[in-house]
Amino acid sequence: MKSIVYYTLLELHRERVYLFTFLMGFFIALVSLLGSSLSYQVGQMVTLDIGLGVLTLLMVGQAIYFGVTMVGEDLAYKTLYMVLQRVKKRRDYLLGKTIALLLLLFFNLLVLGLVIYFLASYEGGMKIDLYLFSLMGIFFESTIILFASVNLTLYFSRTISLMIAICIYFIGHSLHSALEIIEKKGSFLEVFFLKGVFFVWPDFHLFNLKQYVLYEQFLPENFLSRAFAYGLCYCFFLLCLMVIRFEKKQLD
Amino acid sequence: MLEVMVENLTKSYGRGLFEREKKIVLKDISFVLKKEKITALVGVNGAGKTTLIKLIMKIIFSDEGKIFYNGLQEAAFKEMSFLPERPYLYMHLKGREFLEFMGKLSFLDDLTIKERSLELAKKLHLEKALENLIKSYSKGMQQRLAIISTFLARPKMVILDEPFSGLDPFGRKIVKDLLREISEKERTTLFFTTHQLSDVEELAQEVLLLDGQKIKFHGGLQDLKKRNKKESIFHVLLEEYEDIEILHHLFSVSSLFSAEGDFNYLFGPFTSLEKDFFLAFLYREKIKIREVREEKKTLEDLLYPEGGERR
Repeated sequence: MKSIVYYTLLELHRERVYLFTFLMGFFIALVSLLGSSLSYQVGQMVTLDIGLGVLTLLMVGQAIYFGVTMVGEDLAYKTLYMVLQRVKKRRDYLLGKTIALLLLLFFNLLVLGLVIYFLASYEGGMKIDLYLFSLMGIFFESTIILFASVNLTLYFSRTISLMIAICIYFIGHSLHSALEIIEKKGSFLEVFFLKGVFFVWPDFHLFNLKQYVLYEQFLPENFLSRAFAYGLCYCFFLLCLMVIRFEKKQLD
Repeated sequence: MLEVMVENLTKSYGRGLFEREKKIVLKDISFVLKKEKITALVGVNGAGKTTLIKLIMKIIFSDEGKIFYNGLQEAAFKEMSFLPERPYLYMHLKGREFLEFMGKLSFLDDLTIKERSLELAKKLHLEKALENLIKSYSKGMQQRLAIISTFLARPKMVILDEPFSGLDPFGRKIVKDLLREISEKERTTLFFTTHQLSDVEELAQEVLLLDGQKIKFHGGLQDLKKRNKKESIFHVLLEEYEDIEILHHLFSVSSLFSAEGDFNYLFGPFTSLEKDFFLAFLYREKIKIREVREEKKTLEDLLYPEGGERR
């Protein structure tokens, strides 16, 4: 599995994927500085708002792309066959690839997170603990999307998987507000249905800590532990699904 | 040594929106891949060659039937190696790095990988290109690199799907030489598919013919030739002969034509035995023979007498 991680990263390094990260860091810095220069006394908030927003979209976009191409490309090009005959279990390949892509996502988060941190510090600083929690939230979000995309490619074509993954992300963000509204005004059946959907659909609202960072709000009690426990369990659930399906998949 | 035994294997693919309609590709096939032999798997396009290979390599799973690897159903992948048809290698890695990657997956140590890579690369004239990125390789070079990776861990059995595709005549020659050498020196069992029957004649000791979901023939090349008695067909060309009508009643005349102003009669087609009988008759009757033509049957004629069942 170590070799799969190493050579996947080497391949990505040779593809100069990191250039994209640096380019995006530069883009975030440029847009944030421009935005904060146009604002009055809230430069730090504007920087964080734009920075974290762009970072989230970039991470999720990359996670969907990596997820959709990870197994699909190797299968289409038959490279998968050459690797699978050599590993002890099929899951070694899947886990090795997944770890490599998670490391790459983490590298992106680290670089772009540092860019935003320095920009915000230059504009007046922020609560570092909340900022770090926010970054962790973004990482969970993109990990869930990565795992969901890989799972989808084990059932559907790459194009369909891409479209469903985008839907999962946006619906996952809006489900919480929909539930709040329906709980107040909807019928019992509607609430029951939506809660049922919520049970399987990822709740990305839990990982969105941007508002707390921007306004330095106090996090509700147990919010973090609940969010991260949920994130870990959900990732583990998706990973298990992915491994079980991949072990039995007809790879033709 | 590794022996693979296939028993009553059936495989179908789903068709249609919900894949309810089944298309059977292989039906109840059984055979044993003999140890230390070179076996060629032949068949027309869509005969199920790649499906059979994927089943043996457990890339896909059968509907029915079993595959035994040295008597066990657990695949002995440590002792096997597989080269898919025209694989796309990791283009951003160097040739050496790709071989290291494949070697490490096969749990080889660095020194073994280095030595074996170099040994095989020299045989396939690729040693100078190992430090280049794979994306700079031609298709033939990529194929040769993939072949090197297949033999890296000295497997007991190697399954190659169209190993000569993308290779120029020189590439084909050196790959064939390598396969022969590995089969002889390392006693590796080789199982390969090809559409070029010249490859079969040059390399294979055993032939397995897939046609119409079933195995139509499995055995040695010589057995195939012996089994098919009409190995060659003959035509006999006679000079003008006055009682040609009698001959015509006794033997068939396939054509009548004029050459150099005279009438010549072409008799045939005959099998070897029929030809001998006809010549004996002509000799007794003192009829002049201009020419005896022999048309040798190619391996293609032997394997696909009716052209094979196409899908």
